[in-house]
Amino acid sequence: MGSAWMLPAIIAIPLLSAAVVGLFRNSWSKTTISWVASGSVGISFAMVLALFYNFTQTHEAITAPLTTWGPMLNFGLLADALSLWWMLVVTGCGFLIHVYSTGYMRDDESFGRFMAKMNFFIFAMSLLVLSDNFAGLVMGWANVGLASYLLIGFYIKKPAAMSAAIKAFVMNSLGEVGLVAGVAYIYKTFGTLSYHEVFKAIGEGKGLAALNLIGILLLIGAIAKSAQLPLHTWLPYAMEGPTPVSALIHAATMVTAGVYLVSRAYPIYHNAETAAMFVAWIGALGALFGAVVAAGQNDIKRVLAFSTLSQIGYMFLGNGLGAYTAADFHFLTHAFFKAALFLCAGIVVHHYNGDQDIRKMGGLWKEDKFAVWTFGIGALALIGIFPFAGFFSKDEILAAALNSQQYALFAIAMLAAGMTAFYNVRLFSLVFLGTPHMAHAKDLKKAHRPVAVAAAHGHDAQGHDAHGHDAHGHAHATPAAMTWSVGILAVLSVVGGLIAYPGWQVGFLKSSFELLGELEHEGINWAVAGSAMGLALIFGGISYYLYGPNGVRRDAERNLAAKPGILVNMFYFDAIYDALIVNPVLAVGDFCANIGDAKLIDGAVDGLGKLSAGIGSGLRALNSGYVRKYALTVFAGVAIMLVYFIFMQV
Amino acid sequence: MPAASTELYVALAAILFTLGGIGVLVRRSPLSILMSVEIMWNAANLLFITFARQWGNMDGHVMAFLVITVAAAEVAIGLAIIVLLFRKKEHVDVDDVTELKN
Repeated sequence: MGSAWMLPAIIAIPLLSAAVVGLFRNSWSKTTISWVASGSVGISFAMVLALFYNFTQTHEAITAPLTTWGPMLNFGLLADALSLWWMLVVTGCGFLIHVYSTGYMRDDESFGRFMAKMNFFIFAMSLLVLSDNFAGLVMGWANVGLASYLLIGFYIKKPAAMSAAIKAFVMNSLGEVGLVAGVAYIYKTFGTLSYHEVFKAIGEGKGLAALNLIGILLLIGAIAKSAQLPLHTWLPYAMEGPTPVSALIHAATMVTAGVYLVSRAYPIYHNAETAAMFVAWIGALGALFGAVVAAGQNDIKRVLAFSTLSQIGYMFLGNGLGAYTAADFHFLTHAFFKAALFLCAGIVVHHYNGDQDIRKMGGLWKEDKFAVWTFGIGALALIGIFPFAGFFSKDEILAAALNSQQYALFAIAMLAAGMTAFYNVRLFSLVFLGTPHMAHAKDLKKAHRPVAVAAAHGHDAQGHDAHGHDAHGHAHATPAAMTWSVGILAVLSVVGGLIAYPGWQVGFLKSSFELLGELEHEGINWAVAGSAMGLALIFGGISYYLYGPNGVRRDAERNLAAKPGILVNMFYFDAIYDALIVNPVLAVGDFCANIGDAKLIDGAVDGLGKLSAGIGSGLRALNSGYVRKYALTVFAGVAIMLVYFIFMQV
Repeated sequence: MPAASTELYVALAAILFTLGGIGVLVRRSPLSILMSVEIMWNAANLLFITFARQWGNMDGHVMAFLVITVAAAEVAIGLAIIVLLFRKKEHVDVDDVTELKN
């Protein structure tokens, strides 16, 4: 128990670094900023590793009480199996992506601001995960939302990024209403916010009647944060942020906070069948929806965004079915391969001067072998091909659906697995295979270098993801910081799933799920996994037939003049929300501004002004300066008083 | 000879006061206005004396002397103002003096 001091340190170091880097962002050199910002996350990661190793030896949760807030709450930090599992990804992936950013964002003029915000995100996410009570979770939750807002809107001169940031913040605030209401209801029911005490009370059978409502309220928060149906619309627009942000926040960690919430609050969902079924169905529908929409998107990062939506759907499905360890396992593998895919997408986009439209790509195979390999590994892991990481974790979720006899959910999840292969093969074919598109053929020939900062001749003042504007135009390879971090993530995407062979993850995580009884790893369900992989191969084959180098639909797909269909428009969710909610609210706002404020309130204020001005100008006529008039006034007043006293007084 | 009744004196004072008031209001010469004001003073004095006789005590007489004294002081100030006005404006007409407006 001597290592409890590490818990506050894990949180405090990135926060301190964020403050210091933010303060000295203009005076320190970029190298110093890189070392401090990445180093602080690295230190946190090292401490998490130490705690993690410690935990595998002792299997004892560590708590660090910090402060007491009146009678309501003892605020502290908790490192048990679940939070360590998550912290491993938050700080581990976070560290790799920080390192990647030091290469990727180095030529941005606001490099220091970027790194400070990234550090702040690590702090907020660590607080969310390590808190030992619901209040701390809500604080972390709100702060990751803030970090997400700041980082989506990092390119402050780009209007699309600003509106995307606002959109993300508003959607998440909607969810936070649900989350806070749920937490308040927990306090009302149990009289405490501490995980330990709430779950102990549930274990003793108290407050079971309220759990369905609590579960659904918490789920609203989880849906918004994890971009699940129907509050998912902010995620594709969040891709306006720099690519490392998409990788860290909108793929690996923050959007999975909803999964963490459900896993952490498992006693609630375990005893609330309706709420759990909600979780499962939202997840399954999200998995299919994301996979289908991803197949129709033309922006490389949006394809990956919808893929994230789809994969988090799988995690929700696992959580809803009570397969919490499967969901957390999928979270881990997903963090590896999706971060690898996003970071690799960053490299790809560089080849096209920051243009993210996959219709204009193609033939990158010849130009950049490293990107092909890492992207390919990420895609295979995402599809769930043996023996890549996604194969094992997705299998567990599918098997859980089958074992709990939820055949409808199982069918949807299988179909989604097929569609996953479909959109991945499409994406890979359009980007890497075949011939370059007319629009960029010239660019690629010019930039014939290992991995180049192609942005050298494509100056984009709006600050797309184009990183280097190399003034001299000489080629230089992708910085080692970028290749190393992508490489490590790719390796993890290959081997990360193998821990499922001995079922190691279940053995590790089970101490966090005591109320479920003694969890046993059920082994790999080869029938389910095999048929899912077979389905994936069929769908992938169809996709290759359609979009491969000689695919029948390839040219039609790459036609830039094609009218955007229902998939490109993401099933018109945005249009529907605009029509149903946004426009009426804007109309109310316009009414309040133009009629209510301009006419009513301003009218009342101006009217009062005009009234007193009128009275004043009327009275001014009396102030003539003619003494005789004043005298007359006095006489008139006296006369009136006389009349009053003589005739009115009795 | 029967003494005139108190009502008659009061009526006379009222008439004098009204005449004085009208004079203040309609005359434009400050001298005339001052004289009208004197008439009003005297109307008030007449009332004091009348009521003193009515009640048979001397308080009213005392007040009348007081009023005469104050009136003399007031006239002195008023005349001084008129002289200053005359110096400034060459002629005196109260309607030309509207400085109170500002």
